[in-house]
Amino acid sequence: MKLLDIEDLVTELTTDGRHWLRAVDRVSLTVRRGETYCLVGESGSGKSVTALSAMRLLPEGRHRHPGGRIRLHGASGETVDLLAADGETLREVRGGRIGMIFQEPMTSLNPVLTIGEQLDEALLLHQSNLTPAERAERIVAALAEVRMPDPVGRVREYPHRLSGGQRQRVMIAMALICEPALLIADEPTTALDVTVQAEILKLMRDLQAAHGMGLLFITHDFGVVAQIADTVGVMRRGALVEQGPAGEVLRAPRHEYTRGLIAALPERLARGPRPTASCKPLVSIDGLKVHFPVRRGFLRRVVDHLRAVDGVSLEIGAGEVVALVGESGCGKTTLGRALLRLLEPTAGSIHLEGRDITRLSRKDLRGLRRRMQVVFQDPGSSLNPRLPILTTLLEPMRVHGIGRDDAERTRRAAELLDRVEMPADSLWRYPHEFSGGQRQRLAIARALVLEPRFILCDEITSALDVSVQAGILRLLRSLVDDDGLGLLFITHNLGVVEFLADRVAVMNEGKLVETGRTDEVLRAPRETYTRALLAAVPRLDGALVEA
Amino acid sequence: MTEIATVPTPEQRSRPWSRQVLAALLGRTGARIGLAWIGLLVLAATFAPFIANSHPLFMVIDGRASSPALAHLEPLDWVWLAGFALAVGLALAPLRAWLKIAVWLSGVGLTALLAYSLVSPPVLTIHEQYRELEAEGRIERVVRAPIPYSAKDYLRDYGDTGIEAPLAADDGRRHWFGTEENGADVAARMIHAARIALGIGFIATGIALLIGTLIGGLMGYFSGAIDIIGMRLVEIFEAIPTLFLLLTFVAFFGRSIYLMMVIIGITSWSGYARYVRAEFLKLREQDFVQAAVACGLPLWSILFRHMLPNGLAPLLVAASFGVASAILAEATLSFLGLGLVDDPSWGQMLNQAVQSSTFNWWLAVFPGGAIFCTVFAYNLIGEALRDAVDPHTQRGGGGVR
Repeated sequence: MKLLDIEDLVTELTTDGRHWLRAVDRVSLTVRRGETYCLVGESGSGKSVTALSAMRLLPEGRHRHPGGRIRLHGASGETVDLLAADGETLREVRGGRIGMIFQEPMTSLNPVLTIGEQLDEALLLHQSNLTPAERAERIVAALAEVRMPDPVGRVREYPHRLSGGQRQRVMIAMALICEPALLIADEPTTALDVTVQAEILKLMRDLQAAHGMGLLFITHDFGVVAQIADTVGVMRRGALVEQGPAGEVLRAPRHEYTRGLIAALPERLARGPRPTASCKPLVSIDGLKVHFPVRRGFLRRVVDHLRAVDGVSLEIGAGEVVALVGESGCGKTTLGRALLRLLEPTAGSIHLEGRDITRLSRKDLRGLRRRMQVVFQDPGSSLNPRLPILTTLLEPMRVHGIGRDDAERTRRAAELLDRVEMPADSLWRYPHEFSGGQRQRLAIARALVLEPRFILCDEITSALDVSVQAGILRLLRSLVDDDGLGLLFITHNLGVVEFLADRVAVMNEGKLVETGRTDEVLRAPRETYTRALLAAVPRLDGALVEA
Repeated sequence: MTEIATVPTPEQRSRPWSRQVLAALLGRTGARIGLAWIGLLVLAATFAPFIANSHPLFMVIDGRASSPALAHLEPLDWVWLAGFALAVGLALAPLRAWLKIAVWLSGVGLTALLAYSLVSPPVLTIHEQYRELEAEGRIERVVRAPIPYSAKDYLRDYGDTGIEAPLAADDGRRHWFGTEENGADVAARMIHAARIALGIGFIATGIALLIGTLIGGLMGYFSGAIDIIGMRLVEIFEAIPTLFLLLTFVAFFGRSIYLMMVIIGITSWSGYARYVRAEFLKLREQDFVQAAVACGLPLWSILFRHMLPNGLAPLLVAASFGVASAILAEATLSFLGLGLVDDPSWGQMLNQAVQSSTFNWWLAVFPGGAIFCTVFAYNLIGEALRDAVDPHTQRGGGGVR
C-alpha cells in the first residue's frame, strides 16, 4: 500500500536569487507501508534535498519546484499533495504524519529544554486532546520504547547529560511519539560509533516492524543499506540512477555508477603484493601515558585525572602501515598527538629512529619535525584558508633549509603535487577552491614536502566519499610501498584497515586491547572487545550472505 | 618535458582573501558612503593649507612672484602631504601588505624627522598683511585659497569682529559657516580640525590594536599562567575610566594631542585583547595550526602568519568602531574645555556654541554634523566589514541586490 509517492520531483536551489542549481532532477520513488526505502549516494547527490523537499523544509525563497508531485496517502485513502499544501496542513503533517530524524545528534536537540519538555511539545501540538497525565505517560512509554535506560528519570534531564547514542534515541522517540505513518531518517547513525550504530539500526528495524510505518532512510554507507533496506535507490547528481529490491541492487547492480561505488568500498579494493616491511622500528613508544587533570572548585584544584592514554606500547617499522582502531573517545587521537609531541606525554617514552624524543626541548625538536609529519581528519580546516597552496608548501621547506632558492622549492612543490595527483596550477589557488578529497591530497603533499620518514594519518578519509577515499587509500599505500615510509593510520573504519594496514592495534579506554597482523586480528580476534567491534560493523558481504 | 615546464605561471593565481573582502566591502552601499566621507576628510586634512589659508597660494608683488602659502607650510603639513603621497604611491605598487605598511610608517617617520629639523616657517605670522597689501594696491596678481582665511586668522584688521552668523558680514568678507568667538572663520577651522579627528582615531586605535593583538595573541596561544596573568591585566585596564584619566593627565601635564592619543590607546586595548584571545583559543586547536607546529615552523610564523590573518575579521570590525569612539572621546574632552588651546577641534567649536549668552546655531550644527557624519561613517564601515568578512551574513544580505 502506497504511503509516500514522489513523482518526477525537480528541486532547484539558489544562493543569490539569480542562478538556480538543479539539486534534484526528475526523481520518482514510492515508499510503502512497512517498507524501508534506502536512498544512497555520495555527498551532494541530492538525497537530503529530496527528503527536505518532501518535508517542505527547504529555506523559503531559496528553492523552487519547477515540476513534480509529492503525495502522502492516508490510511483511509485520502491524499495530501505536499508541494501544494498550505502552512496549516504542513504543520499537521510534520511531526504528526511524517517524523524526521537528523544526522547530528549533538545539535538536533534544544540544549535549554529538558527531554520531557521537548517530547511534550510535539504531543501538545498534534494530540491536543490528551490530559497532562496522559501525555506524561506517553512520554515515558516512548522513551521506554527506544530502550532508554531509566526513562522516568531521564524525562527531567537536559540533552548535554546524554551520550550521542542516547540523544539519537531521544530523537527517534520524538519522531515516533505521535505515531507517524512515515519516518524520514537522514543519516541517523553516521555520527555514531559502530557498536552504537548497530544498536540504533536494530532499534529502528524493531520499531518499524512494531508500528508498520514506512521508512525513508538516507545514507552513504552500503553496509548500512545491506542491513536495513527493503528497496534501494541510488542517487547521483540529483538523479535516481537505479532503484530496486535491496538484494538485487547490491548483488547485481545494473548501473555502471552503482557498480563503481560498490567496487570502491575499501574492503573490495584489490590489494597488490607488498614488499615485506623492514624489522627496524622507525617509531617506537613504550608505556606512553597522557593524563589530563580534572579541575574543580574555586581554586581549580586537581581532583582527578582523565586517563586518555594509559600505558600504550607500540612499534611502527619503515615501509609498514599500522592501523589504530577504536571508538570515539578511546584516546586514539590523543595518542597520535602525543606521539608527535603536539601534546606533552605524562609518562613513558617515544623513540624516533632510535633517538629518545620524549623530553626534547621545543627548539631541539624543531629540527626533528621534518622526520615525522601529520595529516588531519577535517579537510575543511587542515589547510590555512588565507594562504595560497604555494606558500603553505614553501614555508616549511624554507624553514628547514630544503632547496637552494624559492625557484627550486617551487619546482619541488610542483613535483609533489604531481605525486599526489593534483594539477600543478593548484599552487596558486586557495584551499576553499578545492573539494574535500583534493584538500586531503594537498595536506598529504604538505606532509611530504619535508621528506618525512613517518606520517601520522588521523582519520583522514572519514569525511570523504567512498570513491574519493579509494583514491587516497591507493595513494597512501603506494607512498608506503615505494618510499618506505612508516604510517600510523588512525581510523574507526575496519574496511579501510583491511585494505591498507599491515598490522592493527585495537584501542579501548586508553589501552591497547589487541595488536597483531591485520588478517589475523580481523579473521580471528582473540579479545572480546575486538569481537564485539567487528560484529557491529555493517558489512555488505556479511549481510548478503545472511540474507 | 623539462623540469621548468611543470611549474605553471603565476597568471593562474586566484584572488586572495583580502581582495575578496575588499570587493565585498565596496559592493555595499553603506561602506561606499562611509568610505566616501572618510576619503573626503582625508583630502581635506591633507590639503588643508591649500583649501583654507590666509596666505595667498601665489602672488606677484613688485614684479616678484612668490608663494606665501608654501613658505608658511609647517612641518606637520609636510608630514601629512608626504604621508598622503606615499599612501597613494604604495597603493599602486605591487608589494606585500606588511611591506607596504612598513614602508609607509618608515617613510612618514623619516619625513617627520626631516621636516621638524629642516622646515622653519616664519615664527611670527601676520595673516592680515596680504589684505593690507591688497588694499594698498601693491599686489599685481594673486591666487587665493578657496577659503581665504587661516584657522587662526582672527581678522584683527577688521576691528571688532566677534561671533558672526554665516554670511552676515557686510564689509566684503564671506564666511560660509560664520565665525567663532575670536572672529576666526568656522569653515577654515573645521577643515584644519579634520586632522585631529582623523589622527586621534587612527593613532589611538593603532596603539590599542598593537598592544591588544600582542597581549591577546600570547594569552590565546599559550593559555595557562600567561592567560591568567593577561586576563587580570585586561581587567585592571578595563577598570580605568578613560575620561577621568585624560582629565587628570591634562591637569598635570598640560594639553597635548599626542598625550591624548596615547592615553586613549593604552586604555582601550583590553577589548581587542579579548577578541584576539578568543580567536586564538579557537584557532589553536585548528588542524592547520597543529600542522604548522608539526612542520616545525617558528613561533612568530605560527602566531602572525597562520593564526592572526584568520582571526583578523572581528578585530577589524571592532577597530572601526574603536576609531569612532576615540573621536568621540576627544570631542568630549574639547567640549568640556580641556582640549587643545589654540588648535581647532570640532568639540571645542561645539563648546563655543553654548558659551555666549545666545545660542550660536552654526557653531553647533556644522562641527556637530561633522562629528556625527564621521562617527556614523566609521560605524557604517564597521557594519559592512562585519558582513563582508562573515560568509553567513554575506549570503543572507549583500548577495542580493
